[in-house]
Amino acid sequence: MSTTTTNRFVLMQSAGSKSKKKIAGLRICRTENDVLSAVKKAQYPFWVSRNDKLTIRFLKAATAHPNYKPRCLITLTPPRPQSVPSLQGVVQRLIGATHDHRWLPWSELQEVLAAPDVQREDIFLGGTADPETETIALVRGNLETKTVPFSMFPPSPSGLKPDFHRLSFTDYGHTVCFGDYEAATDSILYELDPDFRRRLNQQRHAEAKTFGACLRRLRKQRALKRSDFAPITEKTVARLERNESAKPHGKTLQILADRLGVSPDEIESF
Amino acid sequence: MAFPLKLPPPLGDEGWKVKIRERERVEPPHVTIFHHRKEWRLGLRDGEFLVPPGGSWKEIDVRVREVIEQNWKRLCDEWDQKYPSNPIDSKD
Repeated sequence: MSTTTTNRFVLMQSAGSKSKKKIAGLRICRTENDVLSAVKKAQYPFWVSRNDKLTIRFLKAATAHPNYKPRCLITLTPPRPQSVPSLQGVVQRLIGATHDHRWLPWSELQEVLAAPDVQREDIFLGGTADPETETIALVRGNLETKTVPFSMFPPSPSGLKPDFHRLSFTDYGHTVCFGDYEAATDSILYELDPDFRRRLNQQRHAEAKTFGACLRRLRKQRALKRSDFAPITEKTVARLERNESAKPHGKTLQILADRLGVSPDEIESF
Repeated sequence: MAFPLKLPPPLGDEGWKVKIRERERVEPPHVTIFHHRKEWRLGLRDGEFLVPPGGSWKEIDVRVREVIEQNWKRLCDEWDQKYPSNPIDSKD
């Protein structure tokens, strides 16, 4: 992945916006002419708009330059519903077209977007929660969207439950909040993304990568006790975790995997 | 709610935060230190940095370190309360 920060993002915000400071790595457009000029250059892959009027200007300008199709447009202020199909036609991806999207605070978002790609990959920029389907779509710093179930966020031992109606993002994308309940972004990515797990595990030079160590890590992540794997005894689980028994196969492995909510061959990736 | 360690002014205004959240990558027990886009994870069992591995205090304001050291027991108690299945003292 490229680490360049040279004006890959264009931010469209109103001329009256309080934040006037320049941020290296970002091109700021405050007027319709700024937008027109940036579209004409046809070199920016990513656009972010917090101003519906400038989004419309972008749409008109991009329509006049059919050979330029930016990779992504993020609309922090949702566009007019009637504009959405046209916007989808001029960019490869449109994110944030609905009113229930939540994003990092603007000052944090600007800094994150200006960061090198590799530093932005493992954070969340924003997302939306859907109580109807009990899912949350999270927009990662590399602009991939990851969908996770509400069940990924169990109540804390003290009884605090996540309030999915109060989704927000903070700590420059390192924390996802559901009201007072806060979840570490990397605890989510660790479950979702095998590449993320691989990278983290590579960093754990000193740590064992045996089946037992992986089983123990995953059991802890799931907040399970060794006694939670019946009919496998607590003693057997302890022996497996200490690598005192050979790696299990067949029915035993399947029981462990079922209880941990992964496939048998996934255990060793944790 | 997440446990935020109260930092004296002006550390908060300078962008420093120290906290234990409801859903952490739980192993091993740790506290997370934030400064703008950067984060560090400090192991509560041995005081060593988990993230970045082998990290040091040199990038962290000395006043933040002092507050953490003064409140070490409290941080450990908060972790144990939030993650009773993975307590600090456990060898499990």
